[in-house]
Amino acid sequence: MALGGVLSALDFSAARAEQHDEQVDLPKEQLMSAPILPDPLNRCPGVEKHIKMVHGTTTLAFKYQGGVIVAVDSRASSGAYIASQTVKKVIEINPFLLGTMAGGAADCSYWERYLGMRCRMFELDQKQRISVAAASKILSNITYQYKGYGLSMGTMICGWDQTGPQIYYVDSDGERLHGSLFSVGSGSTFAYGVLDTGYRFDMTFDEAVALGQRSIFAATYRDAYSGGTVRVYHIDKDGWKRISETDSMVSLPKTSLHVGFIGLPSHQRRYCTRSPIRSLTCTAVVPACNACHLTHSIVRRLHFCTTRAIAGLVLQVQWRADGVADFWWKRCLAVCFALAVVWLNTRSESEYRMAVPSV
Amino acid sequence: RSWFTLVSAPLNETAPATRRRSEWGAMAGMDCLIGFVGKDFAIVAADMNAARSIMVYSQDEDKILKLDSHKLLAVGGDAADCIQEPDFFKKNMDLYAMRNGVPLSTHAAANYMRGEKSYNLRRRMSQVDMLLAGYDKDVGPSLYVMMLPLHEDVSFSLRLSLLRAIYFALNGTILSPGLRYFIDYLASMQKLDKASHGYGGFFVNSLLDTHWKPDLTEAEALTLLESCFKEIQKRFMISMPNFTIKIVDANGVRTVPRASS
Repeated sequence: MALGGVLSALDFSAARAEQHDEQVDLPKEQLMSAPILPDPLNRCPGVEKHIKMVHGTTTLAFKYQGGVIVAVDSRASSGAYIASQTVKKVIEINPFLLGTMAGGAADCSYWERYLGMRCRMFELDQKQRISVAAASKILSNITYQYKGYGLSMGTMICGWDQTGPQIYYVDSDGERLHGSLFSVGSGSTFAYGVLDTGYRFDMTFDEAVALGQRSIFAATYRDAYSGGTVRVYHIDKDGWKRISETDSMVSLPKTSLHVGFIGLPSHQRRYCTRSPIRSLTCTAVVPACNACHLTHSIVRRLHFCTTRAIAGLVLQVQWRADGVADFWWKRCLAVCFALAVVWLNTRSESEYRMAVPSV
Repeated sequence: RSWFTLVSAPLNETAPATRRRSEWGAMAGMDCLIGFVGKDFAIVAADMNAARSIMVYSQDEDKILKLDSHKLLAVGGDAADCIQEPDFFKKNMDLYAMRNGVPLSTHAAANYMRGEKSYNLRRRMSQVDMLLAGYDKDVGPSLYVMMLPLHEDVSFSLRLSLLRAIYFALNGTILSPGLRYFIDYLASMQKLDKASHGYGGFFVNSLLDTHWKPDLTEAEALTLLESCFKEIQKRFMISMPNFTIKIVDANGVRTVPRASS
């Protein structure tokens, strides 16, 4: 039906509905660059093998009577390699909003910066600060648009708005959850244990900061993919503030556990107490010598031997390392071993602890 | 597609048709939804767990959405789809009500949603199970269930999918006037007296079959629901301490507070 003029407003037919369809323009994401593919899985087969995603983290955030505490670690690991110990996993979206980073670092930092831009546009349009719910909804709509395309992020958008302190968990699957306590990342289960047990809404500021810190330490202690420095932020009605940055290794309780003892049955440990330095020698040298994978099984059994035995081991290594064809290379290995042994033997015990890489 | 779907941006048209196994966040079936019809009300209950693999994110997640003054939609399945899809339906239904002055009836809403789910069926992956409970002045209370099968249940043999495509197309065009109560066996919609979704549903279906009768009063309905919850808490592997209960009747939608934890 084609009614003209004023009467067309009364036309509820399908034809007019379709006409109107074209004119309605809902706001689309401004940087919508996702390719329109029926199945993105087929676009780059095997891409995961080539691009090593930097995963593994522990982040947490919780609400209490004085605001929001956000605590994160700072390790980036790709596989078994620690890429960095100084990653900033809290992204400052605006002076009242913080976003945490877990999963793909690029995905998190890019989209949270984009979110910062959208929040600023909201302020300019609406003349008021954006609420945490709205900001998290913008981000979750973006991630939902890219659902299935391989984004990897698990972030918590935390802030203080007119309704008080708020935390929203936003996922790369488009999930968005409101809550008062979240922990995200590979070490989150470890952090949850400490966090759930010690959490009370009516904590003081000091208690809350200490709880956040302790939870991340617990996670860095148990999770291989979490570590570095523990950063704690606090959000109150005046915005966010960084409270502390503490090294996660230093705060671990001092124990008599020497690195070389790992994997040894308990009845053998008493030999090691007589020569902890030598046991450390073995484990310190082996990781430094990647070519000698053969030596690993031998050296692990020699934790409790004297320096003379270690020299004998070096000879064994040379004979067994048939893959290493070069004569001089074998000699160099021997020299390296010897020098390392000598050097480590002259160090004091506390320096050993610092020098030994986290095994 | 429904002629009155007036919101032009379709629900994430660029979304892929399949999903990697690792991207299936919540396992399907973990959301327990129960609904049935009483004397002059329809009641719906859902658990409050929001979980993913071994971890429970929160235990106070409200899974029953108020679609309009006299409709409730309980949703389960993929967490993101459960927010975005019903939101899209709600916006369209609100727009219809604004333009036409009357809201959709429960029957119309159920059919509209089933049509949209069919449209999305082979275009994108969407995993949402729904229970729609509504009250209309002329019909009274009614309950509709809508579900999609799991992605892995749908076989991909070429001949079979060709047959399905023909069946689907014919049903949409030539044969639809003749098929009064058409149910696409892949995107199904059914009007029922009692229904449940999820693994928890396995345990309560027999309870509902045994103890449900027409013209239940509200007190009887709540007793029946409590016995369903107890059964789930006793026999289902996943711990579900909290449940949401909502009722829709002539006065509208209201939440029923639960006395026990």
